[in-house]
Amino acid sequence: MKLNKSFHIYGLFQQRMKIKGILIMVMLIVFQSAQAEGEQSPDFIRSIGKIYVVAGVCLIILVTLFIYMIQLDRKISKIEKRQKNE
Amino acid sequence: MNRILNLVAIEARIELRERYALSGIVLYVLSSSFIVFSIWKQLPAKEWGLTFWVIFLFCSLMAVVKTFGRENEGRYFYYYTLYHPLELFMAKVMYNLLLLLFIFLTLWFVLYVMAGNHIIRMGWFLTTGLMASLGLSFLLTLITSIAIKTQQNASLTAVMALPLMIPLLINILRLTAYASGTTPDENPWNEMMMLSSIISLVIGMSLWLFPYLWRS
Amino acid sequence: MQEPTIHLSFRLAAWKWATMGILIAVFIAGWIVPLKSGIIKVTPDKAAAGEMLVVDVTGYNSSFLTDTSLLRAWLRLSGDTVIMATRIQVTGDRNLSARFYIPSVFPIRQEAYPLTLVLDHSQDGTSVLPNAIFITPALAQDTSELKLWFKDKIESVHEKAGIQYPFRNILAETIRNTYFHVPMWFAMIILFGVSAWYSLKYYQQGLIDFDRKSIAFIKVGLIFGLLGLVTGMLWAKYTWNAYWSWDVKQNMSAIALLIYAALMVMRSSVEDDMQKARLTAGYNMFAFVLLIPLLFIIPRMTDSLHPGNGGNPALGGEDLDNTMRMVFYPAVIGFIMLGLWMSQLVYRTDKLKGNQ
Repeated sequence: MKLNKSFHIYGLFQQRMKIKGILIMVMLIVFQSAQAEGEQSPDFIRSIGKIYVVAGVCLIILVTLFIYMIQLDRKISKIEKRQKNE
Repeated sequence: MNRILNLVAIEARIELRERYALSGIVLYVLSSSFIVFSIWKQLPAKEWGLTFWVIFLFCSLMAVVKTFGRENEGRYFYYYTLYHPLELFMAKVMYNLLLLLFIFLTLWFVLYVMAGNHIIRMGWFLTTGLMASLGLSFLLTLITSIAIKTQQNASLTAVMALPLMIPLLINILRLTAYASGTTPDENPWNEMMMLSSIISLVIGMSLWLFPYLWRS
Repeated sequence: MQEPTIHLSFRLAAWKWATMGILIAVFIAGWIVPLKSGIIKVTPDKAAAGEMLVVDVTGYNSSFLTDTSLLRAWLRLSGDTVIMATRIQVTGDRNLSARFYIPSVFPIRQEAYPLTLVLDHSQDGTSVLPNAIFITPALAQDTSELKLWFKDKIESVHEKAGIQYPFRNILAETIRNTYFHVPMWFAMIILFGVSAWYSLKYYQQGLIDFDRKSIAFIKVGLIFGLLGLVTGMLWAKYTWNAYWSWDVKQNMSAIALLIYAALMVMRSSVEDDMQKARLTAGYNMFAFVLLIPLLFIIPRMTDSLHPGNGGNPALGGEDLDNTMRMVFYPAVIGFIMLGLWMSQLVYRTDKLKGNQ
């Protein structure tokens, strides 16, 4: 299988946004939406035996691990690029 | 042993020659207790113990930070050829121990004068102070020997040492609470055992690691 | 010059496949297995003795409407000291009201009597809510009512059929966090331990490769520790009503992270590579040894709100039943293996970077 550079998913936001910026944005959105939900229906997260807490925990774990993997992937691609140039 | 004492004497002579060193510590103790006291206005027994150890920790950090910074590189090279690293380490530890005991007694005196005495069991408090000084002198000497090799000596000493002090500190605070009679706990031997086992861990580890960390 | 080509290949070490399989199984089993039925709420939660008492019970995962005739309820003071409900009226699958007569005399003398509500249903099995109702003593006491406490027994109770996780008061569905939050700490400890092991290797042999390995394990260990902390905080917000409530377990784990964060800061401020590796190895071993009292002994000496401590439900003893063990142990193993895998990747990346 042959892929060109633009297919690489990080090419989408590689230019300006660093992964940290994205991370901060995601965090802000999550926190804000969590607060907004809290205002509307105070018991949303506690409903159904607090199942949404478990959902949140799983989401945090998966998202963090994925972000970490993406960062690692970026690092490796950078090394590969440098090695190719030499 | 004599060689170690000799080194301690040299340390003390260097320190005492610069008169600001010891008086700096006394002033640090005085001013920080004054600040704390003017914030609290009065110190009940429980807060007395907490305040005591907070001031003690920061004073000891301040005093110990320059353990290895006092001499220049050349003199270390000279020491290195002359003494075994462990002798140097023990000398530094003993000197720091004296320094910490000095801080302990000064602080006790200052808080005694300013906020009254809340310690019921003097013997226990004195033992706690001795143990704390012993443990902290080993721990801080090792950490400063690491930090001196880096570029931000003072801040790194605090950053690396403070979290490592917590296990010691928790037991020290419990023993202090017992000594000042603010805890219903009537059996302090548990904490004492715990504290001494942590201290022996610290001593063993630092004696093992210092010679390794020291050569460069 | 050729364009880089990507060959899709699925050749991977067996233990990595196993990691994936275990974790997928854990995520599926952790989510789809239902909870046993339980009691969420009881109103009123206070009453006086010597009176007729009607309590409204809200159940969880319950099916009161089926087999209503077989529904029984008791209020338990202790052991066999119980009173049975005289009449039970079911208003829905999750709602019923039970009528009790609370005797005016108690076999023991206290200022208030906490009573445990026990429900038994032929399909849902037994549900228990400890300290459901607090009874204040009656003004007029009739000693002949004492025998009412010993008239009934909780007997011939039912088990719910099928595989379920236990229902625990307060925890409810968040008991599933046992499979996601708790393994983070196990993984962190193991990773830090492996890191200390490589530091020891570096101390003995002085190969820079061991330093690279130990630092990779610390990096991933920090990620897992951070995840454990954040997931714990999210859970605490909806259980203890605050992200941070200065519980001893929260504090100690935060301090553990601080220690290793300090190590990373220290590394970044040393220039010489050999120096850096040696200082790291020394501090790492020192820190790991001090971590043992911090994480394993001090939290056990102090009271904690955390599940598993002082009568709080969760890990440990009877709280982790056999069904949960069947998922919990694989979860721990799976996340530890994931951590090892990730550290291996980090190590390989660092090695590539170092070799240039």
